Amino acid sequence: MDEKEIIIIAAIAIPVTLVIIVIVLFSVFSRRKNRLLQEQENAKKEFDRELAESQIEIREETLRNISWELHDNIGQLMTLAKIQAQIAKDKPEMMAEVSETIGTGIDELRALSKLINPESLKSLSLREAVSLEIERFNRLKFIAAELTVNGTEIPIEVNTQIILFRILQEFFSNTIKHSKASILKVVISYSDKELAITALDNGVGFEKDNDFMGIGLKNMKTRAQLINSVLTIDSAKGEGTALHLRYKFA
Amino acid sequence: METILKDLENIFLALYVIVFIISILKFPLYKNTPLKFLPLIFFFTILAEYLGKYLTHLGKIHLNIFVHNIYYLVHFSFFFYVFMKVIDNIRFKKYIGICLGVFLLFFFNDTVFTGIFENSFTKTYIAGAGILVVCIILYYVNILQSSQVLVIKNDLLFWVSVGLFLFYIGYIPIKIIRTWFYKPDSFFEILLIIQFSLIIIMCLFFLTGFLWMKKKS
Repeated sequence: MDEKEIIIIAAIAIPVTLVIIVIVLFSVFSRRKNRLLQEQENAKKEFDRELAESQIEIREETLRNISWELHDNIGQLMTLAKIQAQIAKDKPEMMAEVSETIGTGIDELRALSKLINPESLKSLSLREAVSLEIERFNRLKFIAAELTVNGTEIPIEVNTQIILFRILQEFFSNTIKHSKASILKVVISYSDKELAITALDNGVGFEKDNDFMGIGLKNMKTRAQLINSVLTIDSAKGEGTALHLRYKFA
Repeated sequence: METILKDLENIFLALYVIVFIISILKFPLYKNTPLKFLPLIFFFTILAEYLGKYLTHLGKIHLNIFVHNIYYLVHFSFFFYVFMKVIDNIRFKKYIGICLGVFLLFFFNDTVFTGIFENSFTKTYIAGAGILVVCIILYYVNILQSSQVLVIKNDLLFWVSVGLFLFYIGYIPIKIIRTWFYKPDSFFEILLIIQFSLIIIMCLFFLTGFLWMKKKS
């Protein structure tokens, strides 16, 4: 092959190669871009679905709580007030006690009305929402619950907060229903970069390889992933259960 | 043929100057990125081109060769540094580090055995260009593995890399042919037309990058 032939081949091959490279580059990058956009859209749909499900579950849990409160707390107070009022017919000095019991009932009703308000979680911060749950557990004597907040509170985006709250609510619900625990401790720690939540009980616990919480645990993990947070659940038989959640601020 | 060559040469020299001016005007948008030395590289390129012509005109061919040999070292080392900085895959970074070492070995070898004033460092140039093509491929793989691809059209380095990639893919064979098969024959001017066209295409990609870029911290 002489020099002229080499030059002719090069003169044809170089532009052809460049055109092929441009086409390949364009098609590879645009395909990858379209796939990523599709994945983002799917992730958004998944997030919206989980958010809607979380909201429904929070609402159901709230209705259940209202039912318990009406039956076990306010109902009992009203029954007591009725008995006291009947006694007060003969002993008018008892009227002060009747009034006090009714007053307590009214206070409990006010506390309950906060829970009924569908906008409550949107207007409350995560700390306030968790604090209300903890107060309720103590008031109804479900469990001895305690909340500790470290650091300066940083506002969290409403939808993310709903999902975080629902994860904790699910954990609390499992603790109360299944763990036979007497103590529940919740620690919320704010730092500049992240929010760390730890919730632990002193219940019966479970072996990690057991599918103890089943779908509930999977849901919690899926939801944690959706808001780019890391959730771990540690438990051993007889040693209680601990939830650790780390949410990085964007 | 000579008129075409002269026109193409004037166009690419003018484009180099335009790219240099725009790179300075747009400097605030990329001053915090590894590309911050890009205007210096463009300045060095223009200097090497114009000074090369002037020195050749004066008959100081050895000084011209020296300027170009130093230019190869600065130009390729700069882009290896840039790609090593922007790629976040540790394995790829290591590869580029090794490639940089290989390139410096070629430069050292040419300095010792070829002579920095005597001959153009062709082997260093071809090694540098080949390694740069590999770096750009690694950079593309890195982009495709991340979500950067969604905003890539506003990334200056992407357009600069496309320009360099197309230029070196086309120019490496030309450099090889011109170095080892050259005969004083007007037929070789076809290769010069392709070479000048490649420089023009590269500059147009640089310009696209500067015009489409968005600020990056």
